[in-house]
Amino acid sequence: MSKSSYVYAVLRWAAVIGFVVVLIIFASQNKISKAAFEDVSTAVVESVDLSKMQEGNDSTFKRLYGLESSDYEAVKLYWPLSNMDAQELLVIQLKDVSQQKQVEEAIQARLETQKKSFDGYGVEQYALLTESSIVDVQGNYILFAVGADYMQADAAFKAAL
Amino acid sequence: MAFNQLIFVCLFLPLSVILYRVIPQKLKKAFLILISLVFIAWGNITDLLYLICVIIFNYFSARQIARLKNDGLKKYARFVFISALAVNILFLGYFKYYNFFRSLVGLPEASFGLAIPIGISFVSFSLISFVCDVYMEKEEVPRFFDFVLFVVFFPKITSGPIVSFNEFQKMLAEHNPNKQNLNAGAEQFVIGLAKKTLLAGNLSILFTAISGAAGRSVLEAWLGALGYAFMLYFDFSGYSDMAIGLGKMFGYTMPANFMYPYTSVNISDFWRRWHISLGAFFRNYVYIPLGGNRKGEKRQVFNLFVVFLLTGIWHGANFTFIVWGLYHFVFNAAEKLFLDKALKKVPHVIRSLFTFVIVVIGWVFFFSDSLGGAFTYLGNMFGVGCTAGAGGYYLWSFIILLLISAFCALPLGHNIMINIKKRKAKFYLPVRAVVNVCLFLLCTAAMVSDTYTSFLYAAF
Repeated sequence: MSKSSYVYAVLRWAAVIGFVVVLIIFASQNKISKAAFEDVSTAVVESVDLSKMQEGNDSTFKRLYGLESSDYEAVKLYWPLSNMDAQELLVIQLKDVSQQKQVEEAIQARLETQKKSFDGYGVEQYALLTESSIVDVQGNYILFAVGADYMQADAAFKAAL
Repeated sequence: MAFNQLIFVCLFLPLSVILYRVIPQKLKKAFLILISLVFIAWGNITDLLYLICVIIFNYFSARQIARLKNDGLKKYARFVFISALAVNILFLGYFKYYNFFRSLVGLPEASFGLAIPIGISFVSFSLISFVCDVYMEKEEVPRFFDFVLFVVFFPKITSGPIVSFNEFQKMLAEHNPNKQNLNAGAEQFVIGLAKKTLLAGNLSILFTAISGAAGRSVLEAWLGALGYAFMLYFDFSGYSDMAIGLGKMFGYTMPANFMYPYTSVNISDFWRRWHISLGAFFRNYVYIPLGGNRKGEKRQVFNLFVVFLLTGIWHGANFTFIVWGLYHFVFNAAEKLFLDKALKKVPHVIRSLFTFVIVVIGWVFFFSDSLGGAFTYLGNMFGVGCTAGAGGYYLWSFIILLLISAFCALPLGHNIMINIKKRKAKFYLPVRAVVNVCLFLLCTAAMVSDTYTSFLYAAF
């Protein structure tokens, strides 16, 4: 075999090793939680002030996020009581981590829609959406929280997983 | 980032096109690679890292195969070829099918999860075709950056069309970023966007309402299936139009992926018009190498069985897709053996309608979560297990949308434009311009007001 052939062989197997390393790194950051959805969602819900929110159902979820709740293991949604509020809370347990991207995109789209709605006249709401919101993806669970207590929601979410 | 998101339509696309047009010719390819990498990394940085690894692996596999063949070491070349194929299939198999097989054999769930990389099925098939072509000496190993562009070219990476390297070479050779291509590309992009946002988006309301209900009447079941048939077509052909249009805007002409599939006169014809690039892949790399129709009728039927089984499996790790693939195999084989002869005297329109009904029934397997769900739905379509429903309400509410969908799924609009061009040439360009501007405004309004919906085929 020629020298270049050996070089090509080294490069191609180095790429495979690189691929496996990337796989291991991202797999270790994407642990699947075995925690029950009820426990996770209850912990998150109890950590925030729900006085300006109402519980949403499947059709609210579809309307606000363009997603089907039946595509996921479980969904818990609280959305603003009034059009003049921006507080929101969403906990989703995915069936498969390959759903992460789709859900993240839907949440970002929802966030953008809300920002556009309040940009220019709802100063407080806009500030909440830009400064007091979080999208936290943890393996098979995703949290989206908008509100003054978004940090507490995230802490409760992480602790419950 | 998806083609139907405002950030893509209003920022990424115009900025990319403007910069692409002003930078010097010799930098255009590098720029296109750069923006493609940005597009990929935008969604998930992991996708970019995976892609870099598979690009290096496949490129140097091809280089090694070519070198070993050149040195007369055919056995070693064969080994490298098989190992390259195996790695690509393992890559695809792990991400798409591991969980399916795990649940089949009853292994415990993994303690970690990995998101499926962007366009994995489309990228893997492009790479497999590339390695095969180099091994079969149909292609020479290209320059590294041509290969990188072939893999990462952002218009096609998410959901195709699956372009072979041979086709991509032609695209590179015929590269022409002129004004005519820019206009034609922009027009095709807007048409695709309209199919997705105006038609597929609204049809999904009908389908979701009916398929999500606990029970349904016969009329509801047929309306739901019909709605899905149109929704899937406009979703995927809309995506393909946008991808091909984007390619044209950058001076590259990709092959068509749809050719009015719902006008097909039989199932074989349907597969020549639906997801053309996938059909071409299986024809060139599975059906023909297995012997195609050259080894007798029995062997041809077996080859078709393999192709349609793989077509089903390609779409997803679920028995519903496998049954859907085999359902199409049964009709394809029947056509080859007797059905085509029997139907030849039947008028064209009746044959098209018959084919359309077969395809619509087949979509039930495609959209159902489980075989049980599919058979329950099919039962509803034929009066088994029906409940009293609101079929009349859905028909009344969606009849206009369904009629528009039927109009757009047929080549009627295209024929009208050709007639205007022939008979009233001076109105042709203004009419086209007005239609395109109106469509774009309507799409923008829909994107602003509606929630974002992803492309159905992005999941495959």
